[in-house]
Amino acid sequence: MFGMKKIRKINKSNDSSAKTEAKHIKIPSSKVEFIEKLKEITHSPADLMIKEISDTITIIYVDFLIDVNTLNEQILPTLEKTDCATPRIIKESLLVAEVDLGSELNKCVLEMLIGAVLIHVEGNSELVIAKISAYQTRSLTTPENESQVIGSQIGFNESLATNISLIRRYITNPNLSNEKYVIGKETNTSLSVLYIKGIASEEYVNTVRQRIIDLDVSDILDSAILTELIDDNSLTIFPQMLLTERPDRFCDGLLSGKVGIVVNGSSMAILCPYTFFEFFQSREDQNLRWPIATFLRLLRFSAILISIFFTPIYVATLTFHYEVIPQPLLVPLSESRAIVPFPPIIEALFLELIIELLREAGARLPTKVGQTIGIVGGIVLGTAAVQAGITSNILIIIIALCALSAFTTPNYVMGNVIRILRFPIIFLAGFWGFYGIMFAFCLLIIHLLRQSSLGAPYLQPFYPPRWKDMADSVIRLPLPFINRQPILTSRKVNDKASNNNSSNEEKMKQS
Amino acid sequence: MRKIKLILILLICCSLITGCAETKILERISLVTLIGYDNGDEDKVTATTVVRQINPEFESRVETQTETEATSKGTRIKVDMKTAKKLAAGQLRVVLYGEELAKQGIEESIQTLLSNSEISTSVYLAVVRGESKTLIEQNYEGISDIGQHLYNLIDHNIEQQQLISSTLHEIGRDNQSKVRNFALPILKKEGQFIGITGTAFFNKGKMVGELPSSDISYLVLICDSFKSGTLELSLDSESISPTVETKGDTLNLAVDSIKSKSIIKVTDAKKNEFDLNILLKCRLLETSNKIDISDPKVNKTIEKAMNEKIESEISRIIKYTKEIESDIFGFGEEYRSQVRGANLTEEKWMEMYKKMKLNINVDVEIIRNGVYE
Repeated sequence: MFGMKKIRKINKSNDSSAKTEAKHIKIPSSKVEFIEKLKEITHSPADLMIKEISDTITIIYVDFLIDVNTLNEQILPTLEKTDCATPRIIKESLLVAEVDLGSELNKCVLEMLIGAVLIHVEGNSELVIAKISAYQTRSLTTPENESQVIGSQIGFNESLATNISLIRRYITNPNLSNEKYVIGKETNTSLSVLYIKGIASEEYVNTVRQRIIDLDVSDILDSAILTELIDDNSLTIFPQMLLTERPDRFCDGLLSGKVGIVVNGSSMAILCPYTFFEFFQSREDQNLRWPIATFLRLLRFSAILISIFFTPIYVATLTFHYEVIPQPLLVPLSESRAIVPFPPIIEALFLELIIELLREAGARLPTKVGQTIGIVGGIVLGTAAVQAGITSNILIIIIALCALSAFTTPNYVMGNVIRILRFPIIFLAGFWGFYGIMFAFCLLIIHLLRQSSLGAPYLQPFYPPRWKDMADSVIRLPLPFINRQPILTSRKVNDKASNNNSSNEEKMKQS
Repeated sequence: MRKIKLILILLICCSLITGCAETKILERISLVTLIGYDNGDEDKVTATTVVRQINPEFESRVETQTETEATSKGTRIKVDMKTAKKLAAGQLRVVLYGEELAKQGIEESIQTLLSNSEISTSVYLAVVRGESKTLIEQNYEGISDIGQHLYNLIDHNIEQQQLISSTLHEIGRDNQSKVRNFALPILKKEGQFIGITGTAFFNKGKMVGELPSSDISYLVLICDSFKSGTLELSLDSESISPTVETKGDTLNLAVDSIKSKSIIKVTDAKKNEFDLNILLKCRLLETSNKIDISDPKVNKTIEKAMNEKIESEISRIIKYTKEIESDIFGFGEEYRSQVRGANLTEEKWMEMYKKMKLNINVDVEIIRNGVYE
């Protein structure tokens, strides 16, 4: 019911003219008129089923959207027994869990399109809505993009109901709030905002609510699109909200005070606010012993640095700063470079491009063909390029190391960012050497410092420094040391801050 | 709009500035790894450079070029004219000076090296007995790259504290100080090998004296904290009898320092009196006689004899440096830092150094014996 209210709210707040007009469509009490009106609204699609049970009762549904078994075993027999009845009696006698009465045609049609059977009784301007929707959904499988060795092996699928049921299996708690919204003028996509009352900060919940309500879009086909629409900064390359297909990771976020969004039709759920460093954490870190988890995290963070800066350092060193090459490396480096006709920047860009092409080709091709790409790329291009004298073999090792490092990022979106970031830095390194790299590094830090996620600083817990949250950042200390509700999402801190802000604003208004 | 303009201007500037950066692509330059300076005719300097040439046949060639010109930059231009690729000195590891040039003074050369930003200050400096040109140009069997070979030779000996560290940084520091002089190792060609034969002492950038390589350990002991060096001593049997009996006249010992500390203290500024306290904790590596070191009496006696021996050696060395007027140990610096209002000048300090009274206290402690690596 709460969700329904919300929908009405959206209708009111958004474009009132069109919706208020639609709201006034009343349900004709005559059967013929009703059917005609309905056909007019839905443009009589081929899968619209209209069935006359008796002279008075007509049922209407969309084929394939409903559970035929329930229709046959529960609804049809009941309707046949009750002959001359009012919708209220039918509603009470139906042995279906979700039955409702509707008096607005548009709303009823919407329900029908989600998967309800509409029951019209001659002479009544109310409809019985029996929701017996049956989705054709994919069965629950292991998450493919966020695989982990230890831990649950279940991933979200594309059905909102299944996903929420998965979440409720993890968090059995009446405080788990679920606010339903419908957005997208054309698609009417339903989505749920989930948070745990008492843990999640009201400020963040309000922000998310506000941003979703204010959206004016025609369609939302995937949650990834939604993240871009409600991000703090849509122009930046860095993601500010997490897209995850793991229910355990999602619930972990909810329990630490984050706000989650699940979109119907998308197997990725959104978690926010999210900080830069959290993107490099894996749920599995919690499942491993802490020294191992700490080691893996440090490995991942050093992999970022390697991945972003290793090739640029190679380029800068060989182009400008031959002085810094250690003496034992001098001979092998220069000998491998000797036959290469290009300057290091061209050589590096060429190889990086090959790697990116291989990756992209591998991602787009069917899995069976994808394997050949690996062979072609790894053996043919790699060795041939060195033998042909286009690249040096030391650079091949460096590029491979960088590519490998980029793939250690547990989050795919962030992994892409790390991979792409390298290119502008290679250019700067090729033009200005170490100065260029430092310039890029400074720009990167400044940019990251300016980012926020739902208004929370993006580089927490390093800036602003939150010592308590350090225990679960680039390292992971034993669980007793970890604050389950980090300062980032802490209710006390954030709500206090927001109260102060709001009171300030009020003061401003008064004055 | 203003922001876009700003970004545009920045981008244009960036792309234009790229032209200003001078590229030195590794394989398109000739790397100078060693330079030897000698005295040329008529005030000119002869530079012998070892250049590593990289060619596409996956092998690098080392060639030596010799040119004589009035300035070192002049020789560089001349050598540049002979090489296919641009000369670059950034990988320079060792700079050698011929004995004769060293005696005439190398102060200017050190300044030139220091002011070249391309050259690292970790370059090693050394003096060559005779001419550096002959040392460099000789074909040695088994030494493919003489630049690298000399670097390794000096580097590992400094690491093992068998040489006084002679990096450009340290020499430059000592040279710029008014009251301190520096010392460089002396290299000598010995048939097919190159060896370190001693230490050259400098005063005002001119080589004024030298000590053989057997004295280097004592120099390191005074100058530096001795961590890994080995000290060889021969004690008179008189000094240790009758507690320890020896077969011959002397007892030869080798000790390996575990920890040493040398402290220079000005005890009386007016009387020009200094204390040199050396604390040496060592382990006994080798003796020419079998001695029972576990006996505390024997231990004490040997320690005492070692103290005396080291004290006498050090006073001999200090006396020599006084004669040649080269304060490489930094007594002057200590005086300047410890005495308020010292106002030392070069001449004043040299006078003082010659008359300096030094009390040497050596405290040797044998803390381990029998096992070493």
